[in-house]
Amino acid sequence: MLYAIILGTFTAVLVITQAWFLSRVIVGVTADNEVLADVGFGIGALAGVFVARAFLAWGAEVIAVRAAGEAKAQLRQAAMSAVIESGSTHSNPGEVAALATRGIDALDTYFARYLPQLVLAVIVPISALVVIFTQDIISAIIVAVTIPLIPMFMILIGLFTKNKVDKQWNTLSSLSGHFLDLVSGLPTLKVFGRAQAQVQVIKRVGDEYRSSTMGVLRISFLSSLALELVASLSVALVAVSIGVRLAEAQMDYRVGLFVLLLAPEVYLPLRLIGQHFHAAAEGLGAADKLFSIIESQPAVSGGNIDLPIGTADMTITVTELSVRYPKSEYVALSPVSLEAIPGSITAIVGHSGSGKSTLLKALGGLVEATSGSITVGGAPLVDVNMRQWRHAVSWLPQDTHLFSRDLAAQPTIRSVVDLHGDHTDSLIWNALTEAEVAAEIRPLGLDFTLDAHGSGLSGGQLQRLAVARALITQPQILLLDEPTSAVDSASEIAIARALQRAAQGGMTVIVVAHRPALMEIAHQVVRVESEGRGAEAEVEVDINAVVPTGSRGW
Amino acid sequence: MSAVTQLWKEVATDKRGLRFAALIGGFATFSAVALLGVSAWLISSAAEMPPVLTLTVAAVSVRFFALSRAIFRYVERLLGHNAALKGLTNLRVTVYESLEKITPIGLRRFGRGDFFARIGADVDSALDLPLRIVLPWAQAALVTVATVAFTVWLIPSIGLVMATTGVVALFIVPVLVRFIASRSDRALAEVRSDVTQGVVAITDNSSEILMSGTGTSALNSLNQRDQAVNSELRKQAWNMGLGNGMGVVLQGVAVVGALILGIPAVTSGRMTPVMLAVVAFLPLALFEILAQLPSTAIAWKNIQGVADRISDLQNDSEDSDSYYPSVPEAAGVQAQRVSSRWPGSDSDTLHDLSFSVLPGDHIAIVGPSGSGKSTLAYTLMGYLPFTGSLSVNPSRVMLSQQSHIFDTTIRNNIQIGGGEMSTPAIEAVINRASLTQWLQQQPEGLDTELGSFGARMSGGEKQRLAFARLLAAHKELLILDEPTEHLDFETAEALEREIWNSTTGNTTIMVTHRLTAAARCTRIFEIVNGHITAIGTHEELMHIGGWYAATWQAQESQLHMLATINRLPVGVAVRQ
Repeated sequence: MLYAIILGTFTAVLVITQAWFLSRVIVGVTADNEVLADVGFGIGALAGVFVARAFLAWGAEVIAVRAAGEAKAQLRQAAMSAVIESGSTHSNPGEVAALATRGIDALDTYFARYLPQLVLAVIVPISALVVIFTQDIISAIIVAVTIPLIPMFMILIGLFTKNKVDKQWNTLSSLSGHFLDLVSGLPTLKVFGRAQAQVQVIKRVGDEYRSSTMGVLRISFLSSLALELVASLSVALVAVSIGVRLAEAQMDYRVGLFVLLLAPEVYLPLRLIGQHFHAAAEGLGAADKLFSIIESQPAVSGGNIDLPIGTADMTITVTELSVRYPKSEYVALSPVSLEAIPGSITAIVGHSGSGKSTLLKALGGLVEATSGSITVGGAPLVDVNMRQWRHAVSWLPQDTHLFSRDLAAQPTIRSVVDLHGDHTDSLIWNALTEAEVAAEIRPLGLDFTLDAHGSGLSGGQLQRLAVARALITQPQILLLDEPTSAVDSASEIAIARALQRAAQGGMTVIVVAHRPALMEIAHQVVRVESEGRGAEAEVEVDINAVVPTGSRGW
Repeated sequence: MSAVTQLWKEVATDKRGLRFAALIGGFATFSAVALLGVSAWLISSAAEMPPVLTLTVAAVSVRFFALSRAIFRYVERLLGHNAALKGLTNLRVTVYESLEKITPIGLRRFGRGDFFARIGADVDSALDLPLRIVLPWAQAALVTVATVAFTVWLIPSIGLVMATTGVVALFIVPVLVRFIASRSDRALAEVRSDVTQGVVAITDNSSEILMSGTGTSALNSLNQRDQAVNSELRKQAWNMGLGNGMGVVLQGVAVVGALILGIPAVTSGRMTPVMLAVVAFLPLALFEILAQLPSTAIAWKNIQGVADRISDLQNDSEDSDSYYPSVPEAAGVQAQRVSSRWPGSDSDTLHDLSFSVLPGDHIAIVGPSGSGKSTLAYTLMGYLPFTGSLSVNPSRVMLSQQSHIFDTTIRNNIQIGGGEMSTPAIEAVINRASLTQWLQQQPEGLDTELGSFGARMSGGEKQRLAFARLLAAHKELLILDEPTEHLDFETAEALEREIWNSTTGNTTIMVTHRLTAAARCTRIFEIVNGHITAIGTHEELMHIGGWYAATWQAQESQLHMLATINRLPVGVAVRQ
């Protein structure tokens, strides 16, 4: 911001200096009959001003991009920090990721173009106006009176046409979705032999789209018409008034020319801001959604009660716990009660969408109870020191991706198993042995790299790696959501054995069981249910749906 | 022909409209330059105190150019958008036609889930080609030519300066900017994808990151990636800034050049003194317009990628219509030593299949994933090349894993299958698909809008509606390709039972991975690694004891678990 103000000031000074020397040189030659040699200094100074403006244009670009980059990086940090702290209550990670990448990048125009231009649009017109005022009061009055007309006209036109634009806008966005709809449905249309007939429909809808777009444009372009009219008419007014006064010898030619050169500079930044505004507005559409993520509630933040770590008092008691997500119509988890003592295995079962994962999240402190309670060793979970709690718990979600601490695209086996990077090789191998995956990893070694596809490891092997990672921190409590996708039965049985050993060692094991193997080893089984099942298929949201594409080109 | 030229041909269908817009835009731009030029002339001549009439003419022209600049600009933008939108419709049609040709097999090459959204966005961005690239450039070129012509007429050497700086600004600066931008784009794309990968890693694993306390290091790693992007962006800005600076330098050269050449001309009397202000002011106004060209160059660079992707679609020669099974008169299916493969693959997916399906048969195709079950369905539909002899009932239709629900009414969605249908006929197929109760809940009945991608329906409802649409087509042979693949267990079970009940009069071939559904069929084909390893009833396959029997046992224990769950009380722990 400071840089923008400094740049703006320099620009204003150079614009005024340029007008000054240019009018000097011209008046010297035409009125005072000076020859080239007499105005050499003026021309040299003028050349100097242009060089300085060139450097300024260069520097402005570099500084604007640097500032925009910083702003975008900070926004991304804030958004991702909020996503982590919220404990993944965002229903659609794909949409959030699209917002945090393409959504933030769409703000480029706003940060790198619109904001600096906004600063220029304040500094340059005011400075130019002040200088005009010192030279010629009548011109200054003309400019000062017309400048407020620009925002006034734009607001008036905006108010006057808002309803009509809004109404047209609705038809417009439904028409633009039509093409996407047809293309996505092509395989279906082809099966029924109706694909070719749609060409006529595309043409017809295209014509409707065009005529309603033109309806919107005829109105929305009015505001820039008003801007241009005010800007150019007031320059014309200044020019004619100077001309008349010059002809009547009421004014100095030098002053007249100087003011004439400055007058358009008052309006230029204002006109440019209009150009950047629409591009910037596209990005801001996504920014609204981004801020709702940044402002989202963090997960259970806990209190300051210390946990009785390592004692038999770490019993988890759930009493009539139910969960309804904010803004959701249905109860994600109907009341459930259970008691899990150290050394026991509890299986959570239920039909799909019944709230099994929700119960697990509530136990981990990722989701707040709507009613009922969870206590650990007698202390309410919401009052427990969350740092200690999360340290005591190992957490395995249903679709674990085996990330590493540095989010590497190709993490090593070592980095995904030893997430904190503070265990020796022998401890890592111990954990792999506990999870019954050591024999398969041995020939690959700990530095073998995985990628998005698992580098040829099977789903079952990857799941056992995740179990090893959960066990390596020697947690008191293990919360595990069994994957629903195919894991071979040998792996299933191996994981069941690993959990049994962990429980025998005193760990409290709570698992969401989708398959018989894990249900069979449990000491107790709890069936959960939700009310008014709302388990709808999630639609993938693309950033193109978030950013209105219809406003392009305006 | 380059991809951009090809795209231009498709977007510039309304050539007259575009030319007209360019001309009007040229007038608007010309008015902007003339406004300053005539103003300069007005003031310079006023200083010489000429007759009033001369001044009046100048004053009127100044006001005229002020008005015409704004009004011509408004008209030009409307004309330009109108012509460009006409071109957009044409582009949509050609893109649709090329996609139609390669559907469904060729589409698989593009695979990704957001492919269609990307196409939609690309097609929309094609508007930039006329509106942000060609029209602005054409107008800048027109007004440069006019300015050069005027100054050449006045003093040829000044005209030469204008022409030289104008050519540099029109041609060399944009090409340079485009070159710089596309060169750093590659490096940028790489570091940007690192950021994306980091963001996805965080959003995918947010609960684990929180629980494991690795949030700080994850955010640090993301920040490092962001800084790598920023340092690349700064490098780019350094070069782009050079382009902007060059524009200002050109303006300076033109203004200073006009003065240096104009002043001696005034002194020697070759030019009237009033014209000095005009030749000095003209380049000021002209280069304000030429300063917009670097952003045109960036748009030009961006459109290159769009054009490449669109032409990539259009140049795909994979034609999915060409493999219709040779002998069409079979009532069911007759296959003799049929092998088939995917286009572009160098080995067969299905090997030497021989079987027959009689009218009224209900066939299940089962096997491990990747064994070629769906390939068989596609081959029967005539979408894949094959060898051997194959005849399939031409009255056939297919239901796929995820059916598309069109953004229209229930009635229209059904009629995509059955054409013009009476209301009772539509209600009948809806009833057969067990959707009557759902239909009664819809506010507008059959005329209820379903929203984009059936937004207001559950996965099971969408597949049921797709099934109703399939029944509406009244075909004899129904090919069902894992119709319940993306549904949860209970919904899948119910839908498969209903499909079974309402297709008793049809010949049905159903690919499924759920063996309870297969067990009901008259015959089951077990396909492993592209070979039919067994054909028979449920009892016969259980007796053989291959893949089918093993999988049956696993699925049965799953069913057994579900039955157990149903007997458990809700919300309390049960010891076992």
